[in-house]
Amino acid sequence: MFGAMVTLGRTLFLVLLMSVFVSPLHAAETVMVGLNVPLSGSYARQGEDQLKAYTLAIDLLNDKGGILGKKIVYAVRDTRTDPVVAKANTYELIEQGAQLITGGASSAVAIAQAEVCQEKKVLFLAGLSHSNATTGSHGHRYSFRWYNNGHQTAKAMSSVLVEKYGKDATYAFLYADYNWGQTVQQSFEKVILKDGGKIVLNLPTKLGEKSFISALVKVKKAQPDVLVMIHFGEDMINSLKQATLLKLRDKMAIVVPLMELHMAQPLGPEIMEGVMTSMCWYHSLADRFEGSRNFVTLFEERYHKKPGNSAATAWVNMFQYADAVERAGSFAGNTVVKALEGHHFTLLGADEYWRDWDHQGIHPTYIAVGKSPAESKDEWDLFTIVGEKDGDFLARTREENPVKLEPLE
Amino acid sequence: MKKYRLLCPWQRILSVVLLVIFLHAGQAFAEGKTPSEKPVLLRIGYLPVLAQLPLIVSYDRDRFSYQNVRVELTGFKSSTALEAAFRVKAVDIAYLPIPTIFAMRAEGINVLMGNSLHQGGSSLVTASPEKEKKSSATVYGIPGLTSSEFLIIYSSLSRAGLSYGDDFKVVAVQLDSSIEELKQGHVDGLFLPEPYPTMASLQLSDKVQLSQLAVGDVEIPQAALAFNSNLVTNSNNGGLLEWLGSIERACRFLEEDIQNYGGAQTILTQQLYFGFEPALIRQSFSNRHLSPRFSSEKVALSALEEIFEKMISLKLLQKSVNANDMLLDPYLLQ
Repeated sequence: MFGAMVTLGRTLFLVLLMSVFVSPLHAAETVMVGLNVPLSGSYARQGEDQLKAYTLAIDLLNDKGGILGKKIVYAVRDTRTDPVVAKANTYELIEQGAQLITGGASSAVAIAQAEVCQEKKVLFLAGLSHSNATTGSHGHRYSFRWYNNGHQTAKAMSSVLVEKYGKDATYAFLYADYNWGQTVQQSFEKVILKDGGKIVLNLPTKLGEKSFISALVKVKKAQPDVLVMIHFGEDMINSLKQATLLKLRDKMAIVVPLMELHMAQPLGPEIMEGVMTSMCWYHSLADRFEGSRNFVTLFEERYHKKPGNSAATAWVNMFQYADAVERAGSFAGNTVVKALEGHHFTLLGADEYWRDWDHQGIHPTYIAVGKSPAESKDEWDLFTIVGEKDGDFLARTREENPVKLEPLE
Repeated sequence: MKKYRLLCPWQRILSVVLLVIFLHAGQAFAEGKTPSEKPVLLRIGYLPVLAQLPLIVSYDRDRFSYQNVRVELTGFKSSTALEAAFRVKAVDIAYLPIPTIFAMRAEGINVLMGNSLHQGGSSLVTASPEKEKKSSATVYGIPGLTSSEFLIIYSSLSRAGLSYGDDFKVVAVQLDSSIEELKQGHVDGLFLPEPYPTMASLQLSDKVQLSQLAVGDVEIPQAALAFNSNLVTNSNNGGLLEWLGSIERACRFLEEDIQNYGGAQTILTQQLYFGFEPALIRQSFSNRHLSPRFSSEKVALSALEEIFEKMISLKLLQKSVNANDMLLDPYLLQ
C-alpha cells in the first residue's frame, strides 16, 4: 500500500497541478432572454421562422453593443404547442435568469406563458397569438401582444365579405377547437350576423387533426356560399388541401381569416389562388415601408427566403424590448412595462403603438387575396394586398374588452 | 516553327463567355456556393463533451442559413457508441480522437481527416492521497484505448519516471458512469474530457484533486474531424466547404464567448444538446487552464507522425498508415 501511495504522490508531484478553484474569468455582463417557440408540432414552421428573426435581431443588437451595454444571450425552448410544456419552459427560463420571455405560435401557449410571467413579474412579449383572450380576458400587466387579434381580423374582413359575397350570404365555419379558434369564430359570427349574413354550419375540429374530410363532407352538404376555415399551421395546410381535393372550391368561396406565409408557401398559388385572408404583416410591405424593407433584406441575406408575419412579430418584440429597456434605463420588469405602455414607434410600417390599458399592439390589418400561378413571381410571392384597415378603427373598445390589468407592483 | 493566328470574332466571343463561366464557377466554388446543387445531407454524430462544442454551436447558429448542406445532428452517450456509428456509416462526420482515426484507417475503413478544432480540455481527477488504496499500480479511467487521453497520460507519466504496468494502468470507462467508478474505488483517477473532471471535483469536492497533465514540449492535437470518404465527392464539395466555414465560425464564436462573457451564450446553448446544468459548465469555463481552447487548425504531419510513433510503441497499431493519404484537404481542393 505504501508503494502505491508513493506512486500516486509522485504522479501528482510531477504533473502540472492546477486547482479548479482559481479565480473565474472576468466576464462582461450579459442579459438573458428566453425564446419559447414551437419547434415541433403543427406550428413548427412558424416557430422556426420566429427563431430566425429573434436570433437575427439579437445578433444585430449585439453588434451595436447589446442593451444598456450588456450582451444579449438567449436560451431556446420548444413549446411543442402545448401550454403545459410552455408553462414549464417559462418557469425554467426565468429560474435561469431570463429578463424577457417571448415567442410562441398559439394563444393557449401565450396565455400559459403570460400567467407565469405575471406571477414572476417578468416581461412577456407574446409571439404569434391571435386570440382575443391574450389581451382580453387573460390579459396581464406584464404581457404585451403585437400580433393582431380575432376581433380585429373579423372587423377588418366584415365589410369586404359583404362587398364580395352580399348581405344575405350563407356561411359555414370550421374552426380549431381551442381558445384561438373559438374566439375568432365568435368574432366572425358576430360581425356576419350583424351584417345580415346567415350561419348554416359551425364545426369545431381538433388541433393537429390530419384528416378534415368528414367535416368537409358536412360542409359540402350544407352548401354555404362561403366556407370560413379558422385553422392555422399544418392544420390549415391539410384542411385547405382536402377542401380542394373535394372540389368544394367550385361551389363556395373560401376565407381563411388568418394567414401566415408558411401556411401558403407549401400549397403554392395553385391552391392559394383566390383565397381571401388577412394578415398583420406581409413581406410586400417592403415596397412601401423602409422598416419592412430593412427587415426583409437582412432576413433574406441570412436565410435566403422571405420572412412571414411570425418572424415579423419576433422582430418587433426584440427591437421593442431593447428600445424599452434603453428608454427605461433599466432591465427591471416593472420599468420596462411602463416604458412600453402607450409607447408609439415606427418599425415595420407607419406609426403604431402599444395600447396602455390592454397592451394590444395597434397597427393596420391587411386584407389579401391569393395570387394565381401566372401572377406569382416566385414561391414566396403569393398574395396581393387588396385592402388595409386602420388599427384604431379595428381595435376593441373598452366596452368590448373590459379587461382590467393588475397593478404594476 | 509553329504559327500563331488571331481568333476569329465568334471564337473570341466564345472565349470570353467561357472565361466568365469559368471565373464565376471558380468564385462560387471558393465561397462554397453552388446553389444549383441539391443540398448535401451531413449526418453528424457528437458526444456530450466540451471539445465537441463547435459541432453543436455551428448547427445551432447556422442551420437555418445553409444553402448547400442539410445537417442531421445525433447525440451519443459514449465514445464507443459514436465510433461504432461512424464505422457502420450511421453517421458521416464525427469529431474523433486522432488515434481512433489512425486505428480505423489501419483497419481499412474509408475515413478522411479534417481539421482539429480544440486544444486541451482533458483533466486528471485523482483521489486524494489520504484515501485508502489497494497495493497495486494506480488505475486511471480513460475514454478508450485509442483515445488521445491514453497517449497523453502514458507520455506524461512515463516522462515522470513511472512505469506502465508496474506503477500505473489505464482502463476504459463510460463517461456517464465514470464518477461512480471513482467513487466506488474501481479506479484511482480519471483522465477525461471536460466537463467530467469538473463534475467529479464538484460532486466529490474534498475527496479529489483536479489537475492538468503536461504532455511534453509539443502539445499534440487530440482530435480531428473524421469524414466518411464516400461523402467527399466533387458534387458534395460546395456543401462540405460551406459546413467547414460554419465550423470555423463556431470556433471563433466559442473563444470570444468564453473569453469575454464566461461562455454565457454557450452555457445556454449546450443545454439543448448536452443537457448539462449551467453551473457545471460555468465552473468548467471559469478555469481556462482546464477547459478546451477552440480554433480550427490543420493537423501538422509532424504531429501525426508523433501520434503514429506513440501508437506503434504502445502496440495500438500493428500496421503502417500513410498519414498523407488520410488528410481531407487534398480531396476538397481537387
